[in-house]
Amino acid sequence: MNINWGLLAPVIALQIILMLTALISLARAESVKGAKWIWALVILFGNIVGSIIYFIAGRNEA
Amino acid sequence: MRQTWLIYRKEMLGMTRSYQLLWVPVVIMLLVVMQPITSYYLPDILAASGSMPEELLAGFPIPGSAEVMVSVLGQYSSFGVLIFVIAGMQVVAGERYGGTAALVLVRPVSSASFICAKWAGQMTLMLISFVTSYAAAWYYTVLLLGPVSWREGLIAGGLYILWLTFAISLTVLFSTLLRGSVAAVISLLLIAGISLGHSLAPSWFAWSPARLLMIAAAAIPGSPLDSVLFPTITTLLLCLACLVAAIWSLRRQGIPDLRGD
Repeated sequence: MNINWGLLAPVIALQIILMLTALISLARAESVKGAKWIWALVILFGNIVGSIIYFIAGRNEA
Repeated sequence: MRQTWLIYRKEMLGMTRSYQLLWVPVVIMLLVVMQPITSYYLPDILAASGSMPEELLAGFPIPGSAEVMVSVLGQYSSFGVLIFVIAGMQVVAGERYGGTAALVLVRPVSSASFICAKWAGQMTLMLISFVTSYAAAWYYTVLLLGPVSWREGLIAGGLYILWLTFAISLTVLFSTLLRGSVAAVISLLLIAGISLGHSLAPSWFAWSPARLLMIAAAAIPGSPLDSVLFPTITTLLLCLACLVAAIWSLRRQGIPDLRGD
């Protein structure tokens, strides 16, 4: 199976942007629901879904 | 007008600070762009999974560009709506129960400009997400699977924007009436109900906003367009009704009594 990586590069870049945004948001948040290190694992290993769940459910919005 | 503009600016600032303006468009783009890519690589993916016989794989058709664009649109009406509604569920409720609405609304700010600004903020988020992701999906489809007609593609996109506008207006209304996640659940159930009603009995619901989705999906392969006029008018009226109801409800509720909580 030959994959054209040039074709997939933008998609991979988007995934990395999403993950980095989630991690930066997590690092800068004063408090989140639950422990921060658990959320870090969810974002790192949960792929796209992990970051989405963090943004929807993890953030403590006043 | 000035007031609305100021609240709108504040709303956009809030969305930037909560990274919503970044993550929602990125997630939608990922969702939608995977559609043409997975369709293109589907034979390879199936071959790699190893459970398909060779002869079947050899004859496996790669779907045409129109089919893929229809499935791209399908992503917006399922996951797209889900994300917009969840991202928007706190839009009014969050401020009312968080106490910021009390700060804003004690000033002479009308409920109308408050709701309109909130709605405009959600619309901006939706338009940015839709336009970027639709363009990306279109680009990949043309690159991998062949040309898509400009006219039909743009019409279908426009009809979907109208449907998403309806979803957002509904979310703003329920976010005013109820608290956060309950608002999201009810909005999603209503939206699902409207699409289901239309797909079960299309002839009864010729006026339904869900008809827009069907017309859009039929337009892309180039079949003649149904009349868009009727469902468009109902959708616009329903959006307006949602906003008016939200304004009225906010005015009547006023500032929630936080001492009781």
